[in-house]
Amino acid sequence: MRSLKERIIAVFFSLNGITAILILLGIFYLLLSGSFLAWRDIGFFDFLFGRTWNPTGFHSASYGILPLVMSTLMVTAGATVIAVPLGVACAAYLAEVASPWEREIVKPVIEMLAGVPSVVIGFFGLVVLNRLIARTFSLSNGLNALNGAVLLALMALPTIISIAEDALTMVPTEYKEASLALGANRWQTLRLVIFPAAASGVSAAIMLGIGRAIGETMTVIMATGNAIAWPRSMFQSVRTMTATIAIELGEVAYNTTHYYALFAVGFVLFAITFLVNLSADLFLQRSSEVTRR
Amino acid sequence: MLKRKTYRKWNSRIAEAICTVFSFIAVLALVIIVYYVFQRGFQVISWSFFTSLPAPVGQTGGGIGNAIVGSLVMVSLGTLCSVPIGMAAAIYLYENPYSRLALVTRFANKVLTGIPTLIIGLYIYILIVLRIGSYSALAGSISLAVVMLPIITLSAEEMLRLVPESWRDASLALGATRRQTIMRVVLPASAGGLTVGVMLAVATAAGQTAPVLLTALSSRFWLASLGQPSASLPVLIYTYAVSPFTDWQNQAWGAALSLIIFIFILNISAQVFIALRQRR
Repeated sequence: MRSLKERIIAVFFSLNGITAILILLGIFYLLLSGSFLAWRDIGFFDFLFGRTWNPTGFHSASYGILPLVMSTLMVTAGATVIAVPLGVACAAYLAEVASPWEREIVKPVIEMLAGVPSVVIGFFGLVVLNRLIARTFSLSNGLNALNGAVLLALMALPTIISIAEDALTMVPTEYKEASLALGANRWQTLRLVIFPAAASGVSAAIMLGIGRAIGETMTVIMATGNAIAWPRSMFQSVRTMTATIAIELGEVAYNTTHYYALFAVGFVLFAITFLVNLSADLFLQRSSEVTRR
Repeated sequence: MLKRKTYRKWNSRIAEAICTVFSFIAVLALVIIVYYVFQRGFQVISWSFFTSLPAPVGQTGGGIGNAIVGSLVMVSLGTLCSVPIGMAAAIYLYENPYSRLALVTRFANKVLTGIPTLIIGLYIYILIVLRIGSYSALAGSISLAVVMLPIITLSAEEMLRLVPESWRDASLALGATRRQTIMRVVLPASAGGLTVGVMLAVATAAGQTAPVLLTALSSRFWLASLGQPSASLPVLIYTYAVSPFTDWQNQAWGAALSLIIFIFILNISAQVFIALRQRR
């Protein structure tokens, strides 16, 4: 009797585990099936490599996703360029330079700031950074790729810092002690011993930060101006994939090509973030193998 | 020789100084945002701001009471849905760490934490909003539950694993079943950690904008039923922030301040919890 009950309970628990799998499969299925309908109308290659996204064109609509992808990549690349040096340096500071009390202050502050909602960060970009950029570069307004990149960098920072710092502190102390004992100074030890040993963990941190930046919606909607155009420079207004879905889904007619095209954009976004996070996961696995030795 | 020695000393000093300065910049940038929100928000908030409805369009004044209620309802409902499922899933993962299903489950949860929450909103929009034919607070709650579920599952599994294995062995050796061991020994021992995980998930859900925008939309009235569109703090911040009215933009800062304070309280208590545990 007891074993039957135990087994029933065990099945119950496993069913709860399956929920996440079902949700993920559901998302995958709905996005993919919608995408197929879009690709049937648009043509797969015209969708993927088309250079114009203009679903409401007066003469003919065009659904080329390339400008959206380029916008996302440009904003994300900008964010990465800003966030990686700051984040990795900050992780190195926390792991190697900071005194215990400095760590006690800086770490919780960063973790708390990770909780600032994206819409608030976007609002800051819309009001403050907007003016700052417009004035600094004498533009008519500062809602452009640069604005989005700075904000996304700020949002990616806490992720990068906390995971990179974990990776750096996980490096066995013997490595560091051996290096210092051989006469290397702290910078040489950090650069030539600790960073190489923590390389995969730090890479995972960077990938997770990038993943977060690619999928961010509200910040880029509020800060980048959302003009649909081929992105040419960081000072130009851009519209990312996430912004396109969020803006157009509310106003699109059900069951139209445009409607399904948004699913297809969602699918591409899903695929990109999936690959980025997967690589982060692989890096993390490798890093735990390295430090376990 | 002397020159080489000072060079070696200085290059380390300079590198450390650069790291320190960079960290300072990173922290400062984030602190400036929060400071700015506090400064702008404090000018707006008052008791009636929290308790009254938005003023009719075109008039100034009014409050964000309905958005606060909407957010509280949707986040609570989302928590109620996701906590039992997430905990049970975590227990499953804890008990069968290497079964094939557990590996797939863990992978699915990791993927879910990584995909943009906008996509989760899109999914619930297709699945529920289109089927019911209207945006609703219920759909908003479910999208938040989906956002929270993987966070809760993964953190809960980690917390369960922190319980010393000897405790579990002792309980099993005394003749308790695996279920009794989980329920009476492992879960109580990790209760604090599990709470921290839930608090962080709630903090994440409270700040979600895109999924709520696509599922619950917004409303300028009190929430009367779960089947109706609902206001929420993040969506209100967004719509007010991009609106052309100065009064609305000011109110958006007040709403942003309220939301940040709510999230900070959750985050700080979670960190105090962790700190207290480590001290023990």
